[in-house]
Amino acid sequence: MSRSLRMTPARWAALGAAIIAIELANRVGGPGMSLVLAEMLILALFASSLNLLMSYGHMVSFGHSAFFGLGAYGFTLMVTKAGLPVEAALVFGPLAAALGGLVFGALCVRLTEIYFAMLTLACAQITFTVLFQWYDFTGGDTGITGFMDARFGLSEANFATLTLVVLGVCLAAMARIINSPLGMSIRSVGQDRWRAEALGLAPRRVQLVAFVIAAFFAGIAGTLFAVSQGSAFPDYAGLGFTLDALIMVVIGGLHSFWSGVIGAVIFTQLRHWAPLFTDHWELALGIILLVIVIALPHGVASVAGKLARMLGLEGRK
Amino acid sequence: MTGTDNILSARGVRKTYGSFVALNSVDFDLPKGERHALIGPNGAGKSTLVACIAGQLPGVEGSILFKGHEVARLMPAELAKRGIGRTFQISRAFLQMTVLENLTSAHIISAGRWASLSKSLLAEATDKAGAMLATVGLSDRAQTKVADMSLGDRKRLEFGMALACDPDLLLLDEPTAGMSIKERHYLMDLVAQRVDETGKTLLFVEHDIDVVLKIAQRVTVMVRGSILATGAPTEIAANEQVQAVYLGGHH
Amino acid sequence: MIWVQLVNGLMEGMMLFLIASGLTLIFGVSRIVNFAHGSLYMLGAFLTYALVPLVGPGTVAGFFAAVLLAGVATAAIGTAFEVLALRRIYGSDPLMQLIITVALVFIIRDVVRWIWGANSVTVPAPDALMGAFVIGGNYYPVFPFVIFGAGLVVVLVMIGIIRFTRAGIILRAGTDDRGMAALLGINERLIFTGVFAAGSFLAGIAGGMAAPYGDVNYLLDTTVIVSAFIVCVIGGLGNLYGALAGAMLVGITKAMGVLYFPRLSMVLIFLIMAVVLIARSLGRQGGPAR
Repeated sequence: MSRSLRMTPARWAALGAAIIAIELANRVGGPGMSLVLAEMLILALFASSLNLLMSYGHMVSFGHSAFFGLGAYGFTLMVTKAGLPVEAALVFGPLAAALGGLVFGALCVRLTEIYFAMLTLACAQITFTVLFQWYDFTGGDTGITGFMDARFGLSEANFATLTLVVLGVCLAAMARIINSPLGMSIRSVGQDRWRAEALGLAPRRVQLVAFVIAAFFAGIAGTLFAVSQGSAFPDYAGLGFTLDALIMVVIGGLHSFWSGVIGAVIFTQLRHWAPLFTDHWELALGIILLVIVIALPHGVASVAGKLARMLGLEGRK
Repeated sequence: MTGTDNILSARGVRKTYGSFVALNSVDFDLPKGERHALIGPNGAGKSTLVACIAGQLPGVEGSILFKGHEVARLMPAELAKRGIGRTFQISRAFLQMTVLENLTSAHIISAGRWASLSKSLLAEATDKAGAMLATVGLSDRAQTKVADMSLGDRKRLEFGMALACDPDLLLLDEPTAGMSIKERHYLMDLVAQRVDETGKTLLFVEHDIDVVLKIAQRVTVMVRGSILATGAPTEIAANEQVQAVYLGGHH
Repeated sequence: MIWVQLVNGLMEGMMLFLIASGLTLIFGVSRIVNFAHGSLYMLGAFLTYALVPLVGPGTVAGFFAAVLLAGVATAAIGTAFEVLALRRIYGSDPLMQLIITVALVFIIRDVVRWIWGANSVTVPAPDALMGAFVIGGNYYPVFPFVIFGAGLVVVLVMIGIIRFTRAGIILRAGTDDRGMAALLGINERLIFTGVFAAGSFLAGIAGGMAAPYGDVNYLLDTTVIVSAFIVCVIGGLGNLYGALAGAMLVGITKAMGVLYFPRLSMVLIFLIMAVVLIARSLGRQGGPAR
């Protein structure tokens, strides 16, 4: 699986081309396009953080939006309640998310498979309900607005470029983690926890570290999202975002580093362009998902890989 | 080689599943450096005993001393750190990773540096893994995904992984199950050679009598959760009780 | 007031059980976590809304007939999904199975919104059921009692089928030991489809029966599925009687919660689930012996 991380010259070229294409669309497509791109890139980060957990750690989380929401609120509340300047408050978003990851993770890693997934769901729903109900502190269902200029006051295009840079840095960090002893340990536990344990690894500890790291990056995405909207709402921790992230990772395929990115690109573009052609974008999404799961159980990334090999763009198998 | 030093001493080890008694107050001594086989019909409790020693089962009663320390209720990871390496009856490895990656993981874990982000440590572990590949004869399969390998190769890999942690006691649960005769002898010769070269102790569960006779210095026969007899292979083969219970039939 | 809420809680608990029972049986037999179960409930509610005016409107018998028909229609849709889509991915990655049921959620939600619009609809129940009666000076609404009773009938029929019919024995065998059941020549496919159909039916009639008492809109699916998951987890996935206990616990807690901690009743329920899960995890350790 870290095969997908092996960067050949051909792959660097493809990556470079993608970046150029995005920037081009950003600068040429107008503010509307830039907003869509920024959202796409933020969701790509969010989905990639979940992908880290799922493709490498083999941990299916039904509650990843908790950290997205904690990221948004951790940042926002620091501005509104602690009076911190926006730039200083930024670091508290991912911090709050990582803390949430530590607390929830410590509980959840005690379980496996479906029960693990259910507990993550419970944790996310608790987070959502608290954000929703605690009117005095979190602003309840009306959320928190008007505490900053959306996008730091940057133009849509400049902000989209900023998100692209942040995404790039985060992906590089994730790659570094995966290609390290820690990454191998996470993958080992994900593949066969009993084998890893028999070698001397404590599976729960490893899973907890993976969980916290994923939560941290999700928190960065959540913070960016709050900045892009200039607001924070309890929905950010809701089931909707969790499902979106799961769908993105699945569309992208479950065995590649790039699943989150690919899935986010396809999902966001679909979500924006489909409603122009039909009132029934959710129906379309459902059908597409059905088709993908039945026909392409390994998602789009696997097709991209095969295609590249067929075209001779890959050096080796 | 028999020493008066026992690397493993079990007393009164008992494991039940509800009303079913899998291990009935087993006493067992394993001298350091010995190659010891555990045989018996299915359901005798051999794998259960191995699992107890490896710390995998909850609710184990009795005492298990390993290198002088009580370990009966420790977790598998702790036992691995203390020097027990094991393979599983149904071979377990990291299926979606390559052979080299599997061994690299084993070396990283045994170095105790699982949380490290160091690329140089990764490179070091990869080198060691390469050496281990050569030891177990899998050098030409370095980049093969484990899921794509034959059972025999997987078992060899698993053995390499168990070795990677430089354990003092090797617990092999049916290491040759499902293999062809040629593969069996190849693997067990390799195992015996490594064990002797490095002074390790070997406890293995086995059904193939030829392998047992060839490799084991002493044999323990288990039946229905208890030990029936212990002794040199030829003694055991001649033991009438054993023959009646186990060797008399075919296997 | 407290007794009224208790009665409401009983009704909600019974409905939750009807949904959760299908969910837990489906999981027990085919190891599928059916995210679309809440959607099937919602479908049952909307179909009941459509059928009530057509089937003896205003009468009690008509209402229940409409509910039954809605249940059958929901079962048909569920069966179609199982045969056409779910069947192709049995035995593959559980996440894929999950996503395929999520796909059904989107499809049903969109279709429901397409046909009935984005606004809430009200299901007219017969007047006979919407009255109240007096016990000891308190007014109790008739509806929850009746629905609770109806639900009880369904439960008894279910238990009867499971315990005393061949189908039921096969179901239990299937849940306990699939390999063995297959060896005995029991058609695994048929069991899977049958269970999914039955589960869909139960979800559908639950949706229909509860419909007159609450909001019926296209967002019903998510609220219901989360509660259903909680009930199943508390009772143990695959455990029918556990689901019954869990459902009553959750139903009553929710109803009481509305009285005493209106803002935190949902959190309370999640906490219960979390505590149950963690308590279970404390009893576990170690791994496979082989």
